[in-house]
Amino acid sequence: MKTNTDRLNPIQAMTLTTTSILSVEILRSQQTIAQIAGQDAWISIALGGFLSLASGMACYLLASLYPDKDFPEINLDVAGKFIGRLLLLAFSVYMILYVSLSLKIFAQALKMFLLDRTPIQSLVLFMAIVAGYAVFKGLYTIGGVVDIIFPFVMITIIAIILLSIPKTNPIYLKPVMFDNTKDILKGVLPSFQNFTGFSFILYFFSHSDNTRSSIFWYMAGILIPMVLYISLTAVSIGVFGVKDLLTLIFPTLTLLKEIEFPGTFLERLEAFGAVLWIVIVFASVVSFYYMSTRNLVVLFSIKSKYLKYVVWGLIPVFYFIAMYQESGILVLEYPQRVSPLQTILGLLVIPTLAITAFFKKRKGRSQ
Amino acid sequence: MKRKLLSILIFFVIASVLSGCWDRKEIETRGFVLGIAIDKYPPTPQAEEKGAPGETPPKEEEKLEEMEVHTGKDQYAMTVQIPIAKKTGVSSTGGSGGTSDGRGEGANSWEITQIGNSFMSMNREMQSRTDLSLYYEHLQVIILSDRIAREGIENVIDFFVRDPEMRRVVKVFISEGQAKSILDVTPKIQDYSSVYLNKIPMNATKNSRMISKTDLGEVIKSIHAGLDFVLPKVIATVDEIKTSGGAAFKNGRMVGWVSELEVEAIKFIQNDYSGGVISIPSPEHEGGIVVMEVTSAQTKVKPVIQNNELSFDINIAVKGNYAENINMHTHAKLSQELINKLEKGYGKEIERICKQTVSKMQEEYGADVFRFGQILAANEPAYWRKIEGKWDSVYPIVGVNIKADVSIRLLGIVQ
Repeated sequence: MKTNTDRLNPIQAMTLTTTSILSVEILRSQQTIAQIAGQDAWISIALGGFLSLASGMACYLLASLYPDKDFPEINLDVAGKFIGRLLLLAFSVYMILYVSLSLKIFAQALKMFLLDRTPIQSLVLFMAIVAGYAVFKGLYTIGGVVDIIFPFVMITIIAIILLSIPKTNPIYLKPVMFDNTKDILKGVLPSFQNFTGFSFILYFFSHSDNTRSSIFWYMAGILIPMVLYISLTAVSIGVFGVKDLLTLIFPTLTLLKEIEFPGTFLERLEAFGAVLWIVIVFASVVSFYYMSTRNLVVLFSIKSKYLKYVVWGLIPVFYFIAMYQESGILVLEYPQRVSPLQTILGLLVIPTLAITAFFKKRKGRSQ
Repeated sequence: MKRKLLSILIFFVIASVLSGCWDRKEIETRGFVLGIAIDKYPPTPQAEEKGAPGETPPKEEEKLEEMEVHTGKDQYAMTVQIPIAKKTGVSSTGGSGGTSDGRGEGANSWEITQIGNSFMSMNREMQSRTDLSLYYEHLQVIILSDRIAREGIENVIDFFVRDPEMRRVVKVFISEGQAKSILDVTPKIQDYSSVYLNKIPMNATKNSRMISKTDLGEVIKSIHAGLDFVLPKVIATVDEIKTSGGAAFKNGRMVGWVSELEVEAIKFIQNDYSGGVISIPSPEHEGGIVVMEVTSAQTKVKPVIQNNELSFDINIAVKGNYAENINMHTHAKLSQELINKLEKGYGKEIERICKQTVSKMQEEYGADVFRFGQILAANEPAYWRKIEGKWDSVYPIVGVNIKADVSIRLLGIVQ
């Protein structure tokens, strides 16, 4: 995390937000939500997406009030040294858990579908090291990497969705919203969890050249994954039907196996898809890794020359948390257990901070 | 200096670790399994064969194929087909299998049969009989014998759904009698029966008597959703394979065979009909037969609830071409009048086969292969809630009104 004078441009608000939202959840969010809301899961995801747009607005407001500070610093400024640190601790814990669980679920899927004899430990470790290197190089590098990744990610996911459409049977999506409103609403908060990456703006806003169009790029950054998640869920339910979908651990990867491509050349289309979701997970891991590092640096007031110890020191932490649970079934339940923390932080803490900051600034100006 | 040494060391560590050797497997050591046939044991599939002169007698072969099991007793015989890589390039298409089972000197593939009670263990036991490592990513077909199917397809299918090497587009067939015999066929124009069989359903756009939706994914989907379904039936001689007609499944168990015409009717009602041929007696010429090539068929199934009484309205809109007449002895121009009569006649014929099939499925098999239950659940969810539990007893007596509307477009190039 070298300090450099290079700044991000406004369009990168979109690419960075999109890639940090598209996380390991893309492999199984349909299953998680369909478990709650049945065939109407896509409606829950849409509602969760709107919720994240609202929360994203709060993030943007908060960031734009302090254009030269990033979130941990704003946090201390608005909430005071003590409460600010407490909140920061909560954020740090959440993000570290998030990175670790992403790494673990990612490695588990990778081992299952591609590298079946590579030890899971090394998969987790190498992914963490590569992500760590990007984080070590700083935001500008992350922005550059993401710019390269972004088009590939978009093309793959859109291709998966389009190629699945011929296999979709709309009858599986029916009846729409029949006596299911309660479950749809229950699914909203877990869906909101899929969008957790939108808070990344709070960390890179102060490093980018902001124009009036920045907010639109940022909103586009939330809308793109929202549309992708909704259509991916609808297509998955249309292809598998809810009951079969619930039996799948990684529905998106199974979806790839379900696609029949004319001609034998692309007989195993999943190989291409599988390579690209590694990249999707990488981008979201990098952004959360970066956020964790910043949180810790400010939380413990670490001087910038010791930054590298924070970056590399986090790797063993991620590793041990990721390796803590060996059972494949229990690991998949962990994200849901962590999610209340995210809901409180995203829906309560950030908007409250934004409102407090808003009034504080206004008071400061009027005096 | 220290720094330099360290970076060289790191370079070597990274180079050796990241070169991707971990999961490396040379392609020539892989045994690509093309097809799997599953039979009930006993008897062994070979026992039903006569055993050609010069071949290992079945008794001795059986010794090789048996395995010790941890629990239970041997129930299944799984046969896998793997290509013989060395011979493939050399031999001409078709091979030259001359022995009774079609597997002679020139055979391009090897069928290994293993007896056991779980497919994972059979799969691994086979590794003790081949120097290749069996690899299922390119699996084309799974053939189940009707005995297995009648016991319940779900019993045997879990391994093929759970294992990450399997793809869900593998096609599933039901064989009448022994399943292994299908793999033994050497088709005239293809080296491997599995690849051949996999491609045959693609002709379903030309022949409506074949079932086109036969994926493993489709099967497991239906089982999980509690839907009944039809799988294609396959029969074979020494050098020929035919798939037409099907096997009807209820609750994951095969309940009976479905004839070719019944498959036609099922495809009409499921809106899965993509092309075929229908013929009726000519209304104007005695002994004459008129043939229509169906180019498209659109079916709408609508549940109707009147006075709490359930019935289904099925409207089939068929478009077709006048394709042929037989025994008509006429050189007169085709009149619009005749075409109108024919359209009615074809409509009646379609209605007839559909009605006949529906009542057979309702009364004889009780299998809801048309998925009326699913349609009801999607369109009338409130009513479905009420009868969901007793659908099995409602389905056989539910009223079905079929109406087919045929329009003939082209006449070919003669009048």
